[in-house]
Amino acid sequence: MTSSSGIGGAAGPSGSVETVLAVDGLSTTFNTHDGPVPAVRDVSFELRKGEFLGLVGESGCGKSTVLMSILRLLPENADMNARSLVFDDRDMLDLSDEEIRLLRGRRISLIPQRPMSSLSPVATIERQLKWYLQRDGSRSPVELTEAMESMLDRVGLRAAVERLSGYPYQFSGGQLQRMLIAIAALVGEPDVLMADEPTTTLDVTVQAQVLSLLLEARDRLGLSVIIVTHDLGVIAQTCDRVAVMYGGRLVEMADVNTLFHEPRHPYTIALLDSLPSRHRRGEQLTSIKGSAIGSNLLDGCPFAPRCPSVMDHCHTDVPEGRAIAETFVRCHLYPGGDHA
Amino acid sequence: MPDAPRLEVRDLVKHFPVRRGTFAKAREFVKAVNGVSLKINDGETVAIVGESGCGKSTIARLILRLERPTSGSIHLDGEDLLAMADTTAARRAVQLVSQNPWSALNRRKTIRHTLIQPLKVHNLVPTRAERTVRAAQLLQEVGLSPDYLYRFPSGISGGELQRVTIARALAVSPGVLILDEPTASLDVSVKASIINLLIELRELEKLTYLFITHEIDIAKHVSDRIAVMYLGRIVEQGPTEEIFENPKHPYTQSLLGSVPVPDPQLRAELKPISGEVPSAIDLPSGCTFHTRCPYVFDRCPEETPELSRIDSRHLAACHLVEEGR
Repeated sequence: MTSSSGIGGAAGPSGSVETVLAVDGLSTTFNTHDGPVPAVRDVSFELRKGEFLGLVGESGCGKSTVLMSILRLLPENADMNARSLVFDDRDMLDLSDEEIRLLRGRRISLIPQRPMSSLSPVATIERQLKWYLQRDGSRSPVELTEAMESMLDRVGLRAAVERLSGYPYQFSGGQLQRMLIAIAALVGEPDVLMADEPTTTLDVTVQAQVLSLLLEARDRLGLSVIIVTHDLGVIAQTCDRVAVMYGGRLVEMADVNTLFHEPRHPYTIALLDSLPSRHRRGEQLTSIKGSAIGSNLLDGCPFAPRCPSVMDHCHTDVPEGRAIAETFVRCHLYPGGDHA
Repeated sequence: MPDAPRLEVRDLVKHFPVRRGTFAKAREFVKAVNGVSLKINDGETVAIVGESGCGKSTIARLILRLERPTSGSIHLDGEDLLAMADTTAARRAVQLVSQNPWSALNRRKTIRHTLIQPLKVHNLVPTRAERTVRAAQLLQEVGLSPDYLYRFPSGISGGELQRVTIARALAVSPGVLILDEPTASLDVSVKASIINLLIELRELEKLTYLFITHEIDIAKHVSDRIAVMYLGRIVEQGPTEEIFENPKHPYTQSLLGSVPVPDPQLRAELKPISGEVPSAIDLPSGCTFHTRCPYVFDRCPEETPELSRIDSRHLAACHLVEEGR
C-alpha cells in the first residue's frame, strides 16, 4: 500500500480551498404511524476537494440520513428540504429524479454499510460487475473482461478474477466490500465518494485493509470522501475534518486535530472523555448519563438532558451555530452566533 | 500446593459437523476450537480477543455446557464439570452476559419476570413477595430504579437492557461471569457506563470474569491477562500490559497494529496484513497463520508450534519464538 494516511494532503485549512459539495439547511423528516419523526434538522456543511470528511455520531443521530438525502435515496414516507444542495455549480434541488439518477454512481457514489446485503444474492459477481461496467453499452466483450480484471486488481482482489462465476455468499465480507468500493470508485469517475459505515461489519484487520484502500483511492483519483462512522479511531486515523452529529443536528465541526484536542461542544468533550485510551487501565471511565433515544424530538438543544453544563434555556431554545477560530459549534455555552 | 484455579479448560476441542442434507453423513467439520488450555484464577479478569470465527464464543458456550466439547475437559474449582452428575450448582456458579440484550430478554414478559426466573429455578427465594424485593434490589445494584420492574424490554434503551441482563446474571450470586461481547452492540457513549458497572461489580461482588471481545481497547482496559485466538487456538497469552508492550506472535502484532488509535496526532500508516482468515473447515497445515505471516519460513507449514514460554507468564505459539529469534 502506498503512504496515504498523511493529513493535510489535498485539503487543509490553509491555501485555496475548492468546495465540491455544499449542503445548506438540510432537514429530513420521516412520517410514521406515530407522527412525524425528524431525523436530520437544519444541517449545513461543505465538502472540500480531496478531503476526507468524517460524519460521526451514535445510531439514530441522522448521519446516514444525511447521505441518503443528498443522493435522493429516501423512502417514500420521508420529507426532505434544504435551502440548497450545490454540487458542480448546480443546485441538486432543481434537478429532476432522472438527472439525479445520472449523477448517482457516476459523479457521486455510495459505499453501503452491509456488503453482504448490497449485492444481489442470485446473480454471479461477473454478471453484477457487468451491470455497472456495461451501463452505456460501449465496451466489446474483450474490453469488458479486461475492464473487470483491472478493476478487481486495483482493489487487491486479483484472486477473485478466477472466481467471477461465483455468487456473493462465496466471498467474505472484506472481499465484497472491496468489490463495492471498486463499483463505487472505479466504474464512473466520481468526484464524491460517500461511505456509510464501510467497515462496521468487518474485523479489525480487514477494516485496516479497507481503510487503506479508501485512502489510496482518494489520493490516486483525487476523490472527496464523506465517511460516516461511530468509531472515533477510524475518524482519527483517516479524516481531515470531522462533523459531529447528535439528535439530528450538526453540533460541532472542525479539523481533526482541533476536534480531538480542543473539543468545544459538551457532547464531543464527553464522547472523547469516555474513550478507554484516555484513562488508566482498570480505572472508571467518564460516562455520559442517559441515552440518545428521543433526542431528535427535543425542541431545544438535543444534548440538554444529558449535558453536564446544561442551563435553563438549553431545554427550550435551539442554540445558533457559531464559528470560534476554525471550529463551528452549536451550543449555548458559546453565545453570539453569527452562522444561522 | 496452591489452590486450584477458579476455572480451567484443558485441551478443549470442538468440531461441528457440516451436514449437506438432513440425513447425509457429515464428511466435513468446522474446527471451531482446536486444543485450548486456559486457567483463570479467583478474582482475575481474563480477556479472549480475536476476530470473528476464531472460536472465542464457542469456548463460552462450551464452558456454559450449551455445547459438549469433542474432547478436552473443563474444571470449576478443580472439579471436572463434564463428569458431574448434577450440574445445578455449577450452572449457578457460572453465568452469562451476552452481546445482544434485545434478543437475550423475553419481549412479552416484564423485567420483574425476567429477574425472578433464576431465583425460582434455583429455589433461592421462597416467597413471591421476597422475590420481588430481591428483583428490585438487583436493579438497584446495576444502577436502575425499581420502576423498571413492571416495564417491558421495548422502550428501554440498549444500555439499560444490558444492565438488566447483568442483573439477571447476578441474581443467583455467581462467582464467575462469562461476558460475551457485552458492549459490542452499544453506542459509544453508553459503552463506558457498562464498562464502569462491570469494573464496579467485580470489586463489590468479588467476581471472576472471562471477557470475550473483539474490541481490543476495551480488553486492554478491563483485563488482567489476555489470550489471543486465531482459528481455534490460543496463539499468545500473557499479562495485559506485557501483551500490548511486547507482543511476540506475528498475528498479535498485526491485530494490535490494525486497531485505529483515536488520536490524530498518533496517526500511523496503516499496514494491514494481507489476505483473509482461512476457512475453519479446511485449516492450513502446521501453524495456521503461515498463509498470512510476514515472517513465514520452511518449518511453519510443516509443524504446528506449541505455546512456548517467553517468561513465566507470557507464552506464544510461534516457531520464531521457540527458536529464540
